[in-house]
Amino acid sequence: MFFSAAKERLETDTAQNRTARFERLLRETQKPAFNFALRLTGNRTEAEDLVQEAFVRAYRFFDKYDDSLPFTNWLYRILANTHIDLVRRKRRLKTTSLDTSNQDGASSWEIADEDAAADRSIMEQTLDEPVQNALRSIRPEFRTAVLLADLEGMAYEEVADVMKTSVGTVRSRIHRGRKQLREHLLRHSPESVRQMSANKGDRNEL
Amino acid sequence: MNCKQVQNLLNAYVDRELGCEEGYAIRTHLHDCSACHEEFVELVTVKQLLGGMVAEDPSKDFEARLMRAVFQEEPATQKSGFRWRPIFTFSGVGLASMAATLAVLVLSRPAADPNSNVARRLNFDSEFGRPAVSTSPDNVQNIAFEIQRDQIYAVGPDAASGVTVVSASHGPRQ
Ligand SMILES: [Zn+2]
Repeated sequence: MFFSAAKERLETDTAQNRTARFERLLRETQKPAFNFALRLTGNRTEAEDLVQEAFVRAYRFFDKYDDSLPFTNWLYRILANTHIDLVRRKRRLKTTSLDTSNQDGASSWEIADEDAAADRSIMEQTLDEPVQNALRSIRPEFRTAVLLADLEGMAYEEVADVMKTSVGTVRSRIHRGRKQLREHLLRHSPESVRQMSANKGDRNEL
Repeated sequence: MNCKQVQNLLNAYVDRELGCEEGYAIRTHLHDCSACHEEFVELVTVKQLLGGMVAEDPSKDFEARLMRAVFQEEPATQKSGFRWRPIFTFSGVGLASMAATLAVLVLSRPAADPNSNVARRLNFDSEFGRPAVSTSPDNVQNIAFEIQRDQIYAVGPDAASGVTVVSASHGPRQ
């Protein structure tokens, strides 16, 4: 009786530690996760739903988390995959066939999100609006790669790690994604790209 | 390097992901080619626009909502491990008789440390006034409990979902 009570207590403590640890990580990372999700979805409500779903999944698979990786990298992987799932589900509701043709051999990521801009809910007019619109015009897997690099400041190798793909694929996604962002911005709000560019006439830059 | 080759490497160049040789070849080309240089400047601008987006805060209650959503889920460890059998439900049990039952059980257990994780978790749960998932893998009694002030908590399976929950009986407060 006393032996089983002690054993029970030990097991309880381990589980409680796990919970406490996750709770701490959640508190530390929920804000940056929200901002990443906000740029991924372009919408506060969708961002909150996405982060919530990602944390629920993360907790469910917390035993699989290898803490040699930063927790956010692992969380962002789940978050990005969840986002793709949601986009795919939304798209499936609207169309019967999916065009998953792609050039870099990762069909699961290659699903466009062009409907997103159409059914986005009202968002406050901000300075970031043109950029956010441009982001929503590109495929979610390009968007993820570019955001991880430019918003989160990750190197390609780290992006590859988060997206569970090769550095070559990351390079291709960022190349195509940023190129499309530039084209979208030049078409829809040229001043946003040109105004800043005007200050960069210096060819010795970089 | 011709313009096409340069443009294909331009984003990697912007991200400083190229080796010295490629980087040098591109730098040289950009110095002499205004079309490629213009594209380069625009790509740098796009990168800076993305990096400069203003961080926004989530709603005030967001963290609390996350906690509730996350800890209502049954942890993966319990899915395969232990089956929880209902010992008793709170709906039909009077507070007095339940307190008596728990009092008996208290005597058969080591005293609970009020600063333990269990106690802290329970405080957290009570903040939100609703049951939350307990992660205690209790295969012996299928019940763990904690008495705090006038509240009684018990860990057990939720009758409807089968998910293990910490239930709180609020007695007169409710
Ligand atoms: Zn050129």
